[in-house]
Amino acid sequence: MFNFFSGLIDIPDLKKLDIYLIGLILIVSLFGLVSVATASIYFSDNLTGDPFYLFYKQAFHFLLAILLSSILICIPLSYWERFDRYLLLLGLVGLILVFIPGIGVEVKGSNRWIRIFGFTLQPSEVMKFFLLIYVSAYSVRRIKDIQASWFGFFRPAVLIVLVISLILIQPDLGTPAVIFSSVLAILFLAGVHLKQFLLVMSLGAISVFALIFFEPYRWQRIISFLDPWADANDTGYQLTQSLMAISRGDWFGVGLGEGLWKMGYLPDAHTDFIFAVIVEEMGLFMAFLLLSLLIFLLIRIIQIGNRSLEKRQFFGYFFSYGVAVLIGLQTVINVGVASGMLPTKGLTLPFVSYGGTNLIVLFALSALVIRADYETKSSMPLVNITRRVRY
Amino acid sequence: MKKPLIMGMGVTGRSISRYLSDKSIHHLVMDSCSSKEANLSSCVDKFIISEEVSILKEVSKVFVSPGVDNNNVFLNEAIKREIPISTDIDLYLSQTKSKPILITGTNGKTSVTRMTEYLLSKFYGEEKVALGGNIGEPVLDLLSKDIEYTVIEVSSFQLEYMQEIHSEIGVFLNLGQDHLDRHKTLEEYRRVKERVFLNSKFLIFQDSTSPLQSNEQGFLNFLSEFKEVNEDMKSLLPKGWPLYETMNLKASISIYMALEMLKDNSINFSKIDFIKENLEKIMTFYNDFSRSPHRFDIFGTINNVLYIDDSKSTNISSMINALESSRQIKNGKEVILILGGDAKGQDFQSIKESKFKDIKNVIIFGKDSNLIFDSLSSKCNCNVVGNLEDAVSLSQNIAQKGDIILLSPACSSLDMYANYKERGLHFRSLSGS
Repeated sequence: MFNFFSGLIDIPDLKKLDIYLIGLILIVSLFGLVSVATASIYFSDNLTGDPFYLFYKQAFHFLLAILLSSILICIPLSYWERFDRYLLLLGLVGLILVFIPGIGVEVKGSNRWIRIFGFTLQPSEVMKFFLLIYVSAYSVRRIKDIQASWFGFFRPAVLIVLVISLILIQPDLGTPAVIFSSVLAILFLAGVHLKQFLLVMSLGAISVFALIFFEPYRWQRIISFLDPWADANDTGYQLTQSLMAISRGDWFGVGLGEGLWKMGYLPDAHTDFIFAVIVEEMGLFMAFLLLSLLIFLLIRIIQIGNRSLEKRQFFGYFFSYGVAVLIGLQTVINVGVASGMLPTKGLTLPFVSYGGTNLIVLFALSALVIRADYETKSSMPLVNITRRVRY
Repeated sequence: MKKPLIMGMGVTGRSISRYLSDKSIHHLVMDSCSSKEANLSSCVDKFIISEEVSILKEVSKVFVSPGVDNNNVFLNEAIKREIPISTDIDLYLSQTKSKPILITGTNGKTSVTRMTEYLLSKFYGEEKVALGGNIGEPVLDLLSKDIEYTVIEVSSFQLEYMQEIHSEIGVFLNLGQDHLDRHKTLEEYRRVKERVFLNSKFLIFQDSTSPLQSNEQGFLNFLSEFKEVNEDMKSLLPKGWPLYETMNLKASISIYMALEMLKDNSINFSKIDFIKENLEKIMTFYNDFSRSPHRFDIFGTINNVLYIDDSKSTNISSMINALESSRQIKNGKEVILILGGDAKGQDFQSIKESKFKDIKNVIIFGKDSNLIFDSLSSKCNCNVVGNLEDAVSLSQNIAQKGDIILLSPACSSLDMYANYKERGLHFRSLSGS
């Protein structure tokens, strides 16, 4: 037991931490905090009488996220790599608890949250973290199996399908789609055969299509996204409101706090549609600036992934790429939905939208990436060992 | 951190609590009945029984249930401390995509709300129309449904505290003496009721309730528009309905008409043509409509005496309506009226003598019976009894063949019963039916 704890905390040398990535994350999050403050004013005032209720809560989440990620940065990646299966199991328990009355919370027909000790938690968000660890660790362990046999690829696939189905029945289609994509990206990097990869890709695509087609409300969303103005009062409502908000913002916005559409017209203004509020109040210019920051952030994570690969630290490599795909895809979908380029799908804008679990998990993921970067810098320089040939 | 507080954990209070919990907003609840503490959501941080004003330090907003008394010390202290007050209808109006129709008035608002919902679902389809407020589901439970029109009955109490008032159509049916214990003067009561017109696209009213300031919105006077077809309506009235229901029908048809006008922006819309075209069809719809029980409900003839239950009448003007309607059936000399209860500060002195003088007998019971007796004794033949049992047995003694015994209390039932329904049912059982 002592052995277990002895290496658990390894406080990193602050000078070797990637200030660039940390800075980007903090700037984007602070931008998000300001956006949440303005986007949630009406909602907060209406429900609680305190216009900054959600802002305070999100600020608290932000501090909690910083605290947690500071701790996570001190844990060597090898620990995550070693305990990946237990973490996955923990995540699965969370996903099952969602359906247990008394612990799980049902909102608008979806079981997405659990409530323990007065805290509300979204297990599907936590699962993103655990699943990426599991798949990265698995890929490191079984890289040969993955490359050589069908079994090596399908063993994690079965677990992933189980996880995704548990989230799908909540019901939630957006999160599984994002998780599925990032996990697949890792397996792709691990060297899955192209045939198998394409097979799984197409299976995934077909099941997503089927899930949309056979669920009338989802199909309605697709139809309404193609022409939101046809039924602007009903199925196209959210999107048309979002588009009107965006058009009102123009290049430089109507001014922070001056937005109209958050005043009860645009549902989920502080979560899924925060992008529309940002454009309305701060203009396309600031929105593009925000997106550029997010792109720089992604590039940085990918760079860290590449560096890990160079140093043969495969866990960090797989994990960083998984995180990059996750954040990138979520950003693309969120902005695509708000601007009417993609069908309406409830996904948050990373580091910006309101949501406690979401923000904390993003920080936790980033903490591991920063740790991965740190480990590339602090590890022994690689020596090219020429293999001795035995005669 | 300050939290919102819900006053009253009845059906409405619980719906507010559910709604806040769904949004993960922790809140406090208050109810004088400790049994309400069961089955609270985990987002409820505290259940408060005693109305201790010191708790207001922790409160950022107060949600009032319709059952809360206006003179409530706690509520008034909250107002004094400028804590925002809100209602469940506010939350609903700020979130809903449907077109709300708000109906208020002293009398007949429940009937009109139900009649309107019935009519609109005939025209637009049942799944498109919902009933909210005191009758039907708590409005917040309607948010998850895909509806086009919500017909909501709002009381003066709710209007007084509502902040987010806006509607497709605001309807102010009539104004009579009621709740004067709450609103002090009739003018104040009227001002509160007039709030139903705030941010409304279309106003519906009658001569006595027309807003003082008219604006550019569409409007319709539901009594004058129907003058021409008044007699037709009377003849088309479904069997057994009292005549005053024509007024409620006019209001309901007006709402439908207003929605149609809003649809095509009032171009080429002749109101009277529209009424004439649709009247017969609409009136036949109502043959299958069941009126509110306890609202001028002729429930039986026992020993050749006709019994009418109008327990829903809780103010003077609705009682006068019932009296007028019984005059349509029988001569005034054959009507025995039972009234009384909690008069809520109404002035019975103000009733004109002509309304009463030919009535066979007026039997007064309940908390304010002596007060009412003093006001009425000079105008009619009246007796005071202790309770409804005595009132019914006395009326049965007086009643002759062919008479009417009408329970139309003109008062609240709260001094002796849980609500008007209980009073009405008690009356029915006493009558021997």
